[in-house]
Amino acid sequence: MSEKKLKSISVFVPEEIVYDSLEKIGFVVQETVTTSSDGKFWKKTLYIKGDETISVSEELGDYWPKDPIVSIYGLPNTIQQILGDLDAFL
Amino acid sequence: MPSFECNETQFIENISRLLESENRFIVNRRVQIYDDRRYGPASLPDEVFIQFSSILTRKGPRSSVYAKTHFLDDFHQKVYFLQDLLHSSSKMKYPILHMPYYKVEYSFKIWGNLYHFSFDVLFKPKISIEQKKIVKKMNPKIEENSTMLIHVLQFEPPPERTLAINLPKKVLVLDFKKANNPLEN
Repeated sequence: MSEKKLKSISVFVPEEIVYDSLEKIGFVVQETVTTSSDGKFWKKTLYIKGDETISVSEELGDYWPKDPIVSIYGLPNTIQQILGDLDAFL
Repeated sequence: MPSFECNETQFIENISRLLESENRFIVNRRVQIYDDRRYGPASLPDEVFIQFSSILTRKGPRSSVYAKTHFLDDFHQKVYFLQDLLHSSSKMKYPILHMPYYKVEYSFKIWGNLYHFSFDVLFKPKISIEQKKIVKKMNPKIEENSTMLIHVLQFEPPPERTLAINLPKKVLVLDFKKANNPLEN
């Protein structure tokens, strides 16, 4: 059985595309909170599937381009699927 | 000792790379509650301010915020009245109504260098209408104690799992309250 890996990426992809990609492979939203770091406000959404966890941090406010931070602790196959979906959008 | 501030991606990717190299290490974490007027309603983005829309009003981000109705801030045990100024655009650093939050600070030391990443998690506002006892100390304008039906603003602490970042189980996370080294405070 594969060992889970860590991956954190910042992508110029709308948050909806990221959410769709995660939900397509079975991740479910657990929590959404407002956080602040680097002098910005973020919407942080926590997704879980079994013991794999993913957080998506999306900057709040009126700005462009949007580049959510996706931090994954999951199986290599999960990471590949998500990166593939996001690459396909770009 | 040099110290390095990271954003979330940098911090997690640094750990990922160190793990790949099979270095084992400890990550320190400090979680503290703050209620120091850092976050007032005028400074919130629209997506967050909308959660207060039944009791607060403003023209836009960084505009002055006023009470839309009488309400009790249950967390701070204060009552505000219709049209009270709660966060002035000319005094952004001194909001009258403010939100509590957890400050979460992660850091690890390797080869004599310190890497750290911190973020604040705001308490979530919850607004309801309830029968509450209103006493004089809640606002100097109150002349006598009474019980009334009033909008109540509560702040719910965020779930503990939102105070963490994704890290593998083999990373040992040690929580601490205070470091003696001023660089780590």
